[in-house]
Amino acid sequence: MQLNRRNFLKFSGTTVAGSVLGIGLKAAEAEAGPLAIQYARETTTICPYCAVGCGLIVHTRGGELINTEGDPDHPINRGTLCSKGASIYQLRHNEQRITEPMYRAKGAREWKTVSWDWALDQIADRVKATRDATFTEKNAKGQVVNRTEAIASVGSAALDNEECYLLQKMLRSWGLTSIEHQARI
Amino acid sequence: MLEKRLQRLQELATAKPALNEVCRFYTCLYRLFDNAVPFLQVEVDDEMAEPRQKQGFPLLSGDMLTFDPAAAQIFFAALLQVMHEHGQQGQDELQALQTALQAGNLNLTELLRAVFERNREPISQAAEATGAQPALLEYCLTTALGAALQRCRAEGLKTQVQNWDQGYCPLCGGLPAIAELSGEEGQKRLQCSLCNSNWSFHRLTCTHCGNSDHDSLAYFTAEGEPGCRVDICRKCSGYLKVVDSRERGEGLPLEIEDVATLHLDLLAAKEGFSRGKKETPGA
Repeated sequence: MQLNRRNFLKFSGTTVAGSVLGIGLKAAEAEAGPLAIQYARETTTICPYCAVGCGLIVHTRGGELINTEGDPDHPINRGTLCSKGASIYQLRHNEQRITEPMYRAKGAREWKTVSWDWALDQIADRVKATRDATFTEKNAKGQVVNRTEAIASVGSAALDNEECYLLQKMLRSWGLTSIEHQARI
Repeated sequence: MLEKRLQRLQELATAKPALNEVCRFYTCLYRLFDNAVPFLQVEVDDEMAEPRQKQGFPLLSGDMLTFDPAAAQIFFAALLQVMHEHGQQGQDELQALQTALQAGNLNLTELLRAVFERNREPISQAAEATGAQPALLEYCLTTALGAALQRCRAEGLKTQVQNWDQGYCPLCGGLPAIAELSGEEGQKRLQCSLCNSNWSFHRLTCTHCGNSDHDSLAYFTAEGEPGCRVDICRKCSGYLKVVDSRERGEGLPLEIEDVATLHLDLLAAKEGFSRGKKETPGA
């Protein structure tokens, strides 16, 4: 850690007041010696929630998210965020997040944890049953419409552009016409 | 301003006894700044100021500065005395400078203007003639010029320019010494190392080289040093200390925070970073 005066000047320039005279240098060397440092990065991104499109700064360390904040240089929000945007860190880290599918049967008071296989089968069965029961090939004028108006989709704010594209593609293939996203709400 | 500075120095000395020595020095230095007879007059052509600044030139240029040689000499002598009393190194050189000053061999008007204009030739020549290291003489002159400019600011000198997005001071052209993340929004504000003006700057841009590539910008924090970080650029190997006012509190005199975080400068140097490409003669 020892830097001689000449090297230190080269590193710090003359603006480190006192360094030329050695004032406080020993104390600083003693303080810096055992200190561990940690690097982090800042990356800008856009809030995924609503249509305003606020700018965010995301802090990461070793690829892991450590902090999020509004981007003060972003022309839309100038560093400010709504309560939802301000808590966006919890998209990644939230101990209360539900990580398993939950099911509450018709008339039941309690939720119960179910397996992904069971939940996905249930969704598939109900989507198919509803679609089959309500599918309309032609409207009253005899025009081909191939749609169902009995199922709607809303979301999700946490999906990225590509995921949203795939989701709406799947939904349209089923014949849904009521497809909405958080960003337009 | 003096009270704020002295209060913060007192707080630091109490919180960190190891900083006693440096706090004592700066207490004397800032008292000297406050008591000094003004030795710089600035005449700004307001009509020319705006077009100049729109082109990226700072408000002041060397021809706007008028120094009072007698008052400058008195101040410089007192400054050298404070440095001599508190310095741990360079005592002989300070003595040589004091002798040269008393003998009338230091043309302060020329040297102070040279510092302002970053013209290092006269400084190197004067240092060589007196037997002092150019870096030491430049430091003394920079400190004196900084005191004079800070006094001018205290007496109303200011820049009107909005949206200044350069990495140097809009008022005097000095380089930033330290930055602050201010307000709830965390706006980055740079503070000039010379006149202590501050101005807004982009969060994710290197102040030294203008690099805004996120992949080559980063920051590091030191263990047990909350609210303070060091922004680094891997393209130019520059660094800048940044105080987060949301954690440390608003309104801190950043020049004191700069002094109190000398260990971060050492850590940055150890990591291979410097305060930009500014060369120091003799270093």
